[in-house]
Amino acid sequence: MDTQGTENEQTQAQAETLPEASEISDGQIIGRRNERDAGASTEEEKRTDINTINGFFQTFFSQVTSNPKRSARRILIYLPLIYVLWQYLSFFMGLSFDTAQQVSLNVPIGGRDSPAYYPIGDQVRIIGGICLISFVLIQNEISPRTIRNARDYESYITTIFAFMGFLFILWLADNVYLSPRTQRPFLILGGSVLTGMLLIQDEMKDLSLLVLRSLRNPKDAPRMWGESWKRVGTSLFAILAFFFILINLAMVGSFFPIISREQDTTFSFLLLLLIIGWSAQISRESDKPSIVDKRQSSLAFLIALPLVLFLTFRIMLLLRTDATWDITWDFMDDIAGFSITNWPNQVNLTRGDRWEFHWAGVVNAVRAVLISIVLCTLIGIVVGVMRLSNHKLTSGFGTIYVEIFRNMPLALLLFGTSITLGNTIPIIEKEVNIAEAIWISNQGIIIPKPDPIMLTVALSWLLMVKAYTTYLDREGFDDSDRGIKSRFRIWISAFAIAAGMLLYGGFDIPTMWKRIPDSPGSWVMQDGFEITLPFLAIVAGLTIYTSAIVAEIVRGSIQSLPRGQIEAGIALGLTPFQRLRLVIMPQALRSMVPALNNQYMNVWKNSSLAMIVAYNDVFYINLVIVNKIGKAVPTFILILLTYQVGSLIISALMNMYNRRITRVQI
Amino acid sequence: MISEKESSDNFATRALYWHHKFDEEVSGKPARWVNEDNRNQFSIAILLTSLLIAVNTFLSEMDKMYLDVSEWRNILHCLITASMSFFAWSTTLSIALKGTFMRSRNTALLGLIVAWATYILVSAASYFTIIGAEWDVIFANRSTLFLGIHMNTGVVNSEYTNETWRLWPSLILSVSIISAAFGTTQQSTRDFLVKLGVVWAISMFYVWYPTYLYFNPDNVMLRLTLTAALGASVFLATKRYTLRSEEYLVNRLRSYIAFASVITFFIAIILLDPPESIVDNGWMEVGIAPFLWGGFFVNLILIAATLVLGFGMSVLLAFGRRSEIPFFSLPATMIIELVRSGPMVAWLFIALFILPDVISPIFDADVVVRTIMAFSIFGACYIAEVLRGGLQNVPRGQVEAATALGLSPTQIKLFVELPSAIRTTLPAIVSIFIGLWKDTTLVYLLGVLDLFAISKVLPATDINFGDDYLEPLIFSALLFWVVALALSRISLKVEKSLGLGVEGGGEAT
Repeated sequence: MDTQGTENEQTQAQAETLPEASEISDGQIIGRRNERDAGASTEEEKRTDINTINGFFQTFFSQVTSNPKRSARRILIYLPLIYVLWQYLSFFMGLSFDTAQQVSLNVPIGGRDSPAYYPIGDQVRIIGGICLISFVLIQNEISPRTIRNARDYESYITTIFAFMGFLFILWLADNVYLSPRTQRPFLILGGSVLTGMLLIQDEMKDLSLLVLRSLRNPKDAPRMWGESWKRVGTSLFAILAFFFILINLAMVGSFFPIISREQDTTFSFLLLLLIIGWSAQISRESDKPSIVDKRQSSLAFLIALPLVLFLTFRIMLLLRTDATWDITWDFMDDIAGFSITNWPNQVNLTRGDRWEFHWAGVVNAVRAVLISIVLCTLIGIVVGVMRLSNHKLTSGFGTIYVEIFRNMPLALLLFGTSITLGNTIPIIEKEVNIAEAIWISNQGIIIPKPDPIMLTVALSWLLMVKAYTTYLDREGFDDSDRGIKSRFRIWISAFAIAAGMLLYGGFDIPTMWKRIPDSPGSWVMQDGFEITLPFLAIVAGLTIYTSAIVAEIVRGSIQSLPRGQIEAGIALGLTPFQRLRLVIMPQALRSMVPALNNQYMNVWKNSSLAMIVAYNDVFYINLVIVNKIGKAVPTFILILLTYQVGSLIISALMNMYNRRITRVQI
Repeated sequence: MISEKESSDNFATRALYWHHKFDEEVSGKPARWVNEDNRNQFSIAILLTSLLIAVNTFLSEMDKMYLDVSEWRNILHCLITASMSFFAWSTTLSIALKGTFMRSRNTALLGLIVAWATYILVSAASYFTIIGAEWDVIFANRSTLFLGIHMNTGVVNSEYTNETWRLWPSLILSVSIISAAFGTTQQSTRDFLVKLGVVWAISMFYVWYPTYLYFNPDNVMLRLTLTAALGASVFLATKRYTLRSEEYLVNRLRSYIAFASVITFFIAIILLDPPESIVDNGWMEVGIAPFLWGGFFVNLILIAATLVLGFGMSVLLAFGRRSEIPFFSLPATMIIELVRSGPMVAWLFIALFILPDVISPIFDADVVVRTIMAFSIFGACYIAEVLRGGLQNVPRGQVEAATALGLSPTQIKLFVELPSAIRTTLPAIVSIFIGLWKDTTLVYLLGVLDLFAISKVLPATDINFGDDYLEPLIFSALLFWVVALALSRISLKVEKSLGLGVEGGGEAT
């Protein structure tokens, strides 16, 4: 029984695929087909039948009648799958239908529309737009080639027809009254199912060409339509039936209430038939690849349709009815009214608006991230080089460091750091003070603050020196030992002069002032610059965590260098440090920088965990805003934007650096 | 300098020889005034002096701490400190006396720094673990840490029903599957049994340790032993099968094991919280709602869900993004880039605040379920990017050969491109999973009482353990660490067995 069946199928499949070889490009289907149709053999007729959905059902029934046992077994295998599919389709279609009715119905109270009301034109613009975009993407006719050959309009005729159809439906929706309970949902749901059906039937190209040609020479029209109505019949019938039922829905509904009252069941059933039939058809693999691609994406569209419809309707409803989904940023102009620590742009805590708080958070996050990035790179390089050392104990130390901190959750590390800092640093009554200038207590570390004017002067002096050295390097960097030493001398003296400038300007030395000398708790710290403990904790946590990963990157990059490079360095008599500086690092940087770029972006994103250590970064501040006024959606859009922009900036800077170091080809 | 002849002499000479060799590695090559004749005198002098200093350290440590000498842990700590000081001083003395700084300056400097760093760190660590830390806080809450607060009530309080039976089948199945997976690899029998034995012994000790024991351990210990025995026998059986069967049969067994692990995940979920359809038919009682899950097994379930759901989604996304049809590639690219743009925490909070609005008509998702969704999508996007890189590197010839063999596009994707891409990107995928595994701690921000959340609040729950804030943290860090390390070791092993190890290599110093 079985073998007979497969043999039958095989011969059938061969018969189907044979004429496939002579299949021609989509552009000129009709003309060639006309030629072919003149001498159409029975095999070809069979093939064209099989390649449509009615063909599938024909073969299916003929199989059932010829070989009932085998067919029954097949159906039994697929029955649970079909049941699940039906459940899914009818569930989401039902929800979409309910929501569609909800957003279509308008009961104005006191001259104001219902909150959830969307005029049908808007509904068509949103959901029809999604369908249109999907249609254009699946048809995949617009490409650079099409744009170059814009005059060859036959190659993108389907897209033009789709746009025209969309505009027609939009016109219909805006100008014709449609009843909110039945016709409007029918237009939306039915329209999207129709889109899917037209896509998967793949007859739109033929149909639109046919229409175009009959318009061009109306004399030939009856002949052309008579010859090829079989190819476009299903789609044409579907389109006409859709519009007929839409306009006469009340009449049709009185005969078949299931079409108007229970549209969800109707459309789910239609979708089920389409999906089953066409997935069976696609699995036969009797089409050429380009059509298979199109059909597969159409099938995906049909399967995803109920879910997409539901999600779109749901979000449309939420945008109108839910205060959380009110996507405007007006609330950011109001007074924030909570307390944060911020530096250097001191926000007015009582009067500052939420934008100011947001920017203070951004500055806080950037501050911690920048310091962490610098420190983690330095420590990472040291540890990575340590791991490669010949000195067994040193490499052991590096390995232990990396293995401990690379496999530890960041949240745990941050919390541990914060709690250890809080418990080991002395309480304020027993504060440590170093030379009456640096005060370390659990209130923070307070250090002398330099005079801001002199600080600016010193920084600009250092920048000037940097400009001078860049000028010296205009013909390449002198990396001989002597060159390095002279450069080292220049920088040492530059820093010494900068330090002198700072000393000349004087420091703002912190002092502790007790109102009542003997009583505990009446102290006030005056002047000085405060490094808060949360800041220390977040910097330490991020640095330790990332430096272990950076160490692995460094080790990997160095190890991936050819061994000959190092041996050549040894043969040239370079000292280990020279080898590292002149031979290994410049080459290792090439593979290091992209990985480091990734890690720096991770540091930026991981800084959102700052709330674990009570550091007021941008994420924490926005979370407080959400908790206070509940505008979750706009706030989270703002958060995601902030992080995305930061990542892009880091990525752009690192790519610039990467271009610089890969300028020399090796 | 060092001849092999000396090493075969009596014990003292051999010990001196070893000391000399060790010294040369740690503190560098000796100066000219050390030669083969006086080398041993130098060694003896250094060792004796260091020993004297070490004894002094031991005594002063005992003295300084006002410690009870009869307590074994004090003696142990002082012994460790003394041995570390012996090591540090012997290194320092040999650098000074043998003058190693003259011939190999860098090594001497490194040796000095490392020796003293070791002394300071190890003695501090030993003081903390042996004397300072009160590990009782963990033993008092040993079941809470693994089962969560809700389930623990049934364990320690006989008035409530003990619901641990919901976890045992999953544990037994997981152990069998892991053992079977090891059985199909080249793992040697002894290695695996030793590893299993160590895990078994540690868990037995953890259950048995009699201080602050609030439940009857006999039953648990029996079940653990039986599970370990089952694991060992499954390993032996699969090993035997693997050795005696053809390659294709072994591969088939491997795919069965992979399938079984997916099934196990769903069994675990259904046992914990049976869906309504099962409860309504009266097949099972009402389960434990996900928001009542807690402890280490929540972390395990989260990562398992990410593995099962996230990996499936990532394959779809990767193929979608690589597809030539814009209907697939555009949405896939958009989803991947959108999700990768934000930090994990942001997505978790979006799952907490915004997701319920959207999906509330479908089902009333629990916070843990929502977390699972966020984790799966987040993980899927990162893995999809890695997989895409792997797919791009599949040689074009393979696809063409498969096409020539008459495979369909779907078959080519699933049976040719995907295995080859996974093979090259496995290390990267595992490192993403390690990252996700560490990120499972973040669910505490959403109020899920996972291992980290519980270990965070433990000191506050009992007046006896008010100061012991660090011990539970260290314990949970250790658990996370062990799992992550095991994952990375396995990936390293697979990487090696696939022949993907990097070539070359070099020393920086």
